[in-house]
Amino acid sequence: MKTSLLLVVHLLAGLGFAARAQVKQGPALSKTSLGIHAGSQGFGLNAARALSHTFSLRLSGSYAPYNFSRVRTWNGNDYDLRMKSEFSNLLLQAEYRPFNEAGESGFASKLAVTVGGAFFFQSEANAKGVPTNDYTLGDLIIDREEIGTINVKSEWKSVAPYAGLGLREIKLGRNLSLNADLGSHYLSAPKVSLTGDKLLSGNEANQEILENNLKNYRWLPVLQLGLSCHF
Amino acid sequence: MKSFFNSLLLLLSATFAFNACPNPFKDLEIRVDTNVFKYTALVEVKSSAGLSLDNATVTLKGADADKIYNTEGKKIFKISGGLLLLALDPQVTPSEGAPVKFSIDITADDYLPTNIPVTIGVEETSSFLTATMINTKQLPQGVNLKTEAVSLGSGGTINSPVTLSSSAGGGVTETVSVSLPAGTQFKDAAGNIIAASSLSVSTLVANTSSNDVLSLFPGGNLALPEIKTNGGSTTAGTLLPAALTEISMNAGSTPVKNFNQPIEILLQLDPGYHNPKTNAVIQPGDELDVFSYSAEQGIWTYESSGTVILSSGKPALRVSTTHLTWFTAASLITACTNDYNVKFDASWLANGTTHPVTFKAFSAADQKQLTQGTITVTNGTEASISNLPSTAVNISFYDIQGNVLATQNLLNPCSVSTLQTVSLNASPVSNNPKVTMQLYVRCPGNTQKVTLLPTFYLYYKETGAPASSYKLLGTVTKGYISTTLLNTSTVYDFKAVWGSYIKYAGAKTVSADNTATVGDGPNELIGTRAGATNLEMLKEVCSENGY
Repeated sequence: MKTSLLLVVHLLAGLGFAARAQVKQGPALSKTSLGIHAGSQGFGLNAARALSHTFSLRLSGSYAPYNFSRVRTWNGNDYDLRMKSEFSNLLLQAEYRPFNEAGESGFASKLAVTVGGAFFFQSEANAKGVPTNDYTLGDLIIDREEIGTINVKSEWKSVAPYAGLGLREIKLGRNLSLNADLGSHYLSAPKVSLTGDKLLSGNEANQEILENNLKNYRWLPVLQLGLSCHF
Repeated sequence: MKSFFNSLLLLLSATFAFNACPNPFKDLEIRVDTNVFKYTALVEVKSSAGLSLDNATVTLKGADADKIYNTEGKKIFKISGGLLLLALDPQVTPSEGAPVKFSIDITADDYLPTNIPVTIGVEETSSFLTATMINTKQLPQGVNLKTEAVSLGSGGTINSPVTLSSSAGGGVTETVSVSLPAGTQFKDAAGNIIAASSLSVSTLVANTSSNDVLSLFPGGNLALPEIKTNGGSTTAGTLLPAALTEISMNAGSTPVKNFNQPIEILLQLDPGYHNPKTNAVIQPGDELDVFSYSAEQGIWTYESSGTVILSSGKPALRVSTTHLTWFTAASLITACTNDYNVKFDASWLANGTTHPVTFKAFSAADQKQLTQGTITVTNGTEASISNLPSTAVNISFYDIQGNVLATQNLLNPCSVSTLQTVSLNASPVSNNPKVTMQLYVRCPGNTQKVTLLPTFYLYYKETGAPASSYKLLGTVTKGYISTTLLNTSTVYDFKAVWGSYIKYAGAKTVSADNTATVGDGPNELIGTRAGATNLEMLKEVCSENGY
């Protein structure tokens, strides 16, 4: 998959250069835009600079906090797993609009191929497992608060490539347009730590299993909509 | 260009398809450590005859007995492999000045009952105790037992005065006489007169001139945290016994607990007894106290005082009593209110290596052993020795083989309030390499090893040595132990005790790093004694723990 991704990136980069060689004169070029966006990688701001009708650069900042919990059972004991992830990044994209050589207005002209790289200020997911019930040992009942907690932390390296498709400048007003993106970051394999305290200490041997299970959790999909104001 | 976009969409689809990753929780096994206990007490129960006591009956008594469980959290107490492992309810914590107190009654056929008082203080997370059961069919040297029968009149009454005397023998030179006056009737535990036609009287006499008395002295020690004094108050102190006896009776088949009138006991005293009150060998005319042992409370209680007389040329003391138990004619030396604090200087125990160092305190006056204990020592370890008597003592420190490593002579331990340095000479075992053992467990039918191992006790002996010579190697915490007690050129037998489970591994040599997996696979350990039983045991434990 990694090889496939590199092929795509190289291909897109090559097409980008080819496109620049074919730029023609067209309607007035809206060179700069500022926008907001929201979607699977959270919400944020972006700014774009058109170098031509077909080629532009975009810088985005996004923040995506997610929290959810679920109950899971291990060895007859229920745990409330409270999971929290935080991803915030700065993404620099190169955008190529192959059907917009002369600033056309058809739907195809809105299509864009984007490649870039992101720097993640935060890229970690944490899970805290708390027993939901007391623990029974023989005739003894151990209060669930005395059992302890399990803490899991997954961290990805801060730099990740990005590739995707986009729709650009779908006009909503004179200077206002709608953008859409569908793509994915390709993250490093996560570094996982699993620790337990009190009566749950000693479960650290699960760290290797968990790290193995999470080693393919590298694609961070992006599906988002944005509004841009053009200057 | 459109074909390019089709290809790109296909690739992007693949990207998201790859996000169908395996369940992140696959194969995770989160387990609760069953070592829930913060305070445990390990009682080594020895038979004076070297026999197994695993069929003995164990009963806990005392104010805090209800707070004690076995390591499976149950109220079932059983001796396994000579060990009784007790644990304090993890939701109970002893506090300063309010320790947890209970006593352990152990009874077995052909053995004298034993009672061991246990006190768990706030800092005593692991208590090690020893109980020696005296086999009445194979009496050890220094203990004599005589049983005699007496006919009873109507209503189970003594018609004419009877005096029963023990005889010297078995390393015991002193005797005990029991006089039953006419009209004496015998009562059971409920206080009812026992209407029997015959009475059986057993008199056990122990040689108090020997330090061996310490192992069978009720309470497990001469230095005790609680002794009830003449005024009814309780004090920590040391009992220096001049005589020790246990008298029991059965009227018919019913155990006798009390009498309708006092009976008289004449205790011959150790003629070489050093009387701390006079600082001289005991003489007729000296005053001496008598204490009796309450198995219910696990405490010695003042019974009476008397004047030493001569009986058959030996010093003796008369005691009048209405109940039966252990009696001792003794001097009570109150304990220091301060602990004796020591710091061990042992460069041969550097790098975190530990060694079980035994201390024994002797009376400086007559070299009688007063107390003993074991401290796990590494270089720089600080420890406290409590309940030392307010009199001159000599304290010696020994390695596991009994070699003296240091001795200190104290005129009065009560006047020593500063930390004392104890320089331990190197033990011969210090030449042994550091041996580290890591044990893994794999349950039958599972491919993965057990992630959460229990803590258990590991004993060792040289192969060929009798079973009674097993010594504690240490506590194996989560499968790991590091020791210098083992020699890499010696063949050892090992005994692992985990709750009520015992596992033996015989004829093993160790190397500096030993790793073994318990399981039923190739090259895995399943025990060298009763392997099939061990496998069933392993399956049972694995099943109980959900593996």
